[in-house]
Amino acid sequence: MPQYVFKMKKGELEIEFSSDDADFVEQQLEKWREEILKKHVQQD
Amino acid sequence: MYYNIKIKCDGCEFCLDSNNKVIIESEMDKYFAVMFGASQEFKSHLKDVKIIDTNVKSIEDFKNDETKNAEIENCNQEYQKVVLDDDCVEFSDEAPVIESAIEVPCCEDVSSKVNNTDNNSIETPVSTELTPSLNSEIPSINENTSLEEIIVSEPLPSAVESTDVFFDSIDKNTSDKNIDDLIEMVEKEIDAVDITDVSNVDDVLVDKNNVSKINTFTSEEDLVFDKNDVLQVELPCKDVENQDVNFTAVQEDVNEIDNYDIDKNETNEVKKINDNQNDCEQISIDNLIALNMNNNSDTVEINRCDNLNEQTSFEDINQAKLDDIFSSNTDNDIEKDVVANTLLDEININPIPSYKEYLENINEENNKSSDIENSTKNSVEQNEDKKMDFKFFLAGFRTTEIIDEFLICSYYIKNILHQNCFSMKFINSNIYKATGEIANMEVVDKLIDLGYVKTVEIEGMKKYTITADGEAYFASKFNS
Repeated sequence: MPQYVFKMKKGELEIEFSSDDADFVEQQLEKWREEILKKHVQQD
Repeated sequence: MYYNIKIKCDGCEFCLDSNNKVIIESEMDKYFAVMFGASQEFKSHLKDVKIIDTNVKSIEDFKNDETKNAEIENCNQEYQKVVLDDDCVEFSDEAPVIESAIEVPCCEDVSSKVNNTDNNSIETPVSTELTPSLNSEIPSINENTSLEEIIVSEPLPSAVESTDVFFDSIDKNTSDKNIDDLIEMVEKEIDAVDITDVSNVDDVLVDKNNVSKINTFTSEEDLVFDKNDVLQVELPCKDVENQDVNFTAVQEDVNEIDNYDIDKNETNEVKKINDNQNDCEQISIDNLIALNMNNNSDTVEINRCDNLNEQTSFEDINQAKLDDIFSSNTDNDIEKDVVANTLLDEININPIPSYKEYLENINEENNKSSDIENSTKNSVEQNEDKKMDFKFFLAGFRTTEIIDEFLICSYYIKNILHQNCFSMKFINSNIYKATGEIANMEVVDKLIDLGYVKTVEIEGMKKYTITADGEAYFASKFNS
């Protein structure tokens, strides 16, 4: 069974996300990517 | 399905491990929002969260559960105990990762524990834990502890038991004194024993006068012994405790044996003396004669000495015997004659040879045996030469023809040399020695045609032999 591990780091903060549910990982990463893009758009 | 989220902030780390997809998703969103919003908010948020139970639907519900809080405290205590008991745990700024679904300590609590490690506060309980065991083995020693108590509590090894005498000399009343006073007492006792004082050593060692005697004895003059010196040796054996055994210096002169006081009637003792001299000493002639006179020459055994220089000729002995017989004080002349004749008969019948004569006899015998062997060997060789001498055999026949000589030689080989067959090389060697001629194949073929000689093949070699007709012809022609 595959296992997916993603690490996000900003400054001193670090979030490690791991799961064997490929669909969940894909949806979560896509959601985070959109939020990050929104943040950058708002800052710009 | 497996979901896990791990958060690290300011060296602190906690994780959320659960199969609940909804909780993980919501928490992850929250942390993600904090992470990319403001770090201060994230930290404050972490302070509010002590532990996250995966079975709790929300953090707020978990906070309201007092039983869970109690479990959390128990878990923290167990965690602390495990950390303290394990000497190999190295505390760092980072909090330990607890991946258990239940034990997820708060960042603040763990950090507080970690901060305590920085102040070395953890080492204290470890030392207090070890102290009782050490106290049970090591007695407590303070200023009021007496030296005697220390000695009793720590017994000395058997190898230094002699020091107990020294410690026993300390007054037992000194137990009330402090250690400094006891140390001073010990030092005084040690000073009292002057090791350098060797005055008492003389009582233990040999007397100085005796030492001086030893020194004078070791001079070279005393070590040189004269031949006539008599050494007095006291044997330690009890049986001879009071006896002085005199050992006279051994002299090589054989005549000194005359000093033995030999009683003429004690022949057996003389024999013992003779045996003890290892068959190498000679008894003086006079004593031998004296012994012979009284014992008819039968009881004394004269041992041959290998030393030719000191050997006494037995001829002289016999002559001395005769002289002594006739010069004896015996008045009976008949008895003298009988004794003398007996001695002469013994000398004539079985004369005792000297060592030189013995060697000469042996050499003569060896020479005789060697001469016999040589003569025998020469005679055998001469016989063989005569047997091989065909010239001598051929001289008995009046013939000059080679064919006759060949037939005679073939007869010679068979009947004299006793060889059944011969080769051309062998028969020609005999004919050439006798006549100086060599027979060719025409002679052989002619004799074969006459039937006097035939060919014989032995081991692939062609050889010849005389036939019966040839022997008959030889006998009829030459013997007639």
